[in-house]
Amino acid sequence: MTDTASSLNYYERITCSVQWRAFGPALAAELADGLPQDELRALFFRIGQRVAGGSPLPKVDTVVELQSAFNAHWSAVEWGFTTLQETDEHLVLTHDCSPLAMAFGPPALPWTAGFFEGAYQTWFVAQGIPHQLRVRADDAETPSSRVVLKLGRFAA
Amino acid sequence: MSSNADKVGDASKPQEDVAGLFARFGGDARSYREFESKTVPPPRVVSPVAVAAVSVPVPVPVPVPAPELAPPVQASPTAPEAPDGDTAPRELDVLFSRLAGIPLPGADTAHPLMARWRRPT
Repeated sequence: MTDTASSLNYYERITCSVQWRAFGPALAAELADGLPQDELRALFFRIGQRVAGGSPLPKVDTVVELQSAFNAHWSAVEWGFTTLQETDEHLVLTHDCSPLAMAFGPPALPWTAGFFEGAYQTWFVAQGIPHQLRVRADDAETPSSRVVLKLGRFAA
Repeated sequence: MSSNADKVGDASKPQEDVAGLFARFGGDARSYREFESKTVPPPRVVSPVAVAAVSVPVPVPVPVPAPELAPPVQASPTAPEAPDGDTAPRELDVLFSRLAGIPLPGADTAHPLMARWRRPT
């Protein structure tokens, strides 16, 4: 195991209170038994909207300032950090050290990522994005504590 | 010769204090001071906690200037305005418009640059 991997492994173990380590995955399993993944993702999207709506960010001018504003929030709640990168078609958000995998278990990652979609979408709307732009989590394989999202034009 | 009146008068006078009597009968002032010191009532026994609370001088708050820290990256609440009064688009607006594939909001597409330039007649 590399130093980075062991560091991440350690972080993942401590990122969620031991009080919730059984409850969270059990809740996720129960939800997954009762609802299809797209609805669970929509549910977590709405949770993300609520969280971001309760923590509005200042209106900023630049990508660097936006990244700082995001990370000021995530740092305050110990939810990792994000890195923004412009490409031709997207603004890529790489959110590292997310506690979601530890809180709900890796099997829930495909739909718990909806939380970040909803949170970032809400903050981007507040920054004045055109209605054509959406935040979508990338389904590519990543470490469990990393969520990659893109802001761009996606089919509704 | 002492009379009853004197006695009555003495009794009616306010009683001289110990120091006054001592001086009146030629007592040594230094001895008197020593004597006086012995008559001082013993100090009241106060608990150490109370002593500490009483004897420790209360620190007077002195206004200390706040340390100068490097200013954090702070988002300006509004986009800076161009010198000519027009509001310059934010860097984010340019990015959002590019990603959305739409003209920049506020861009004068009906009158592009040089459109108003007077043509030679």
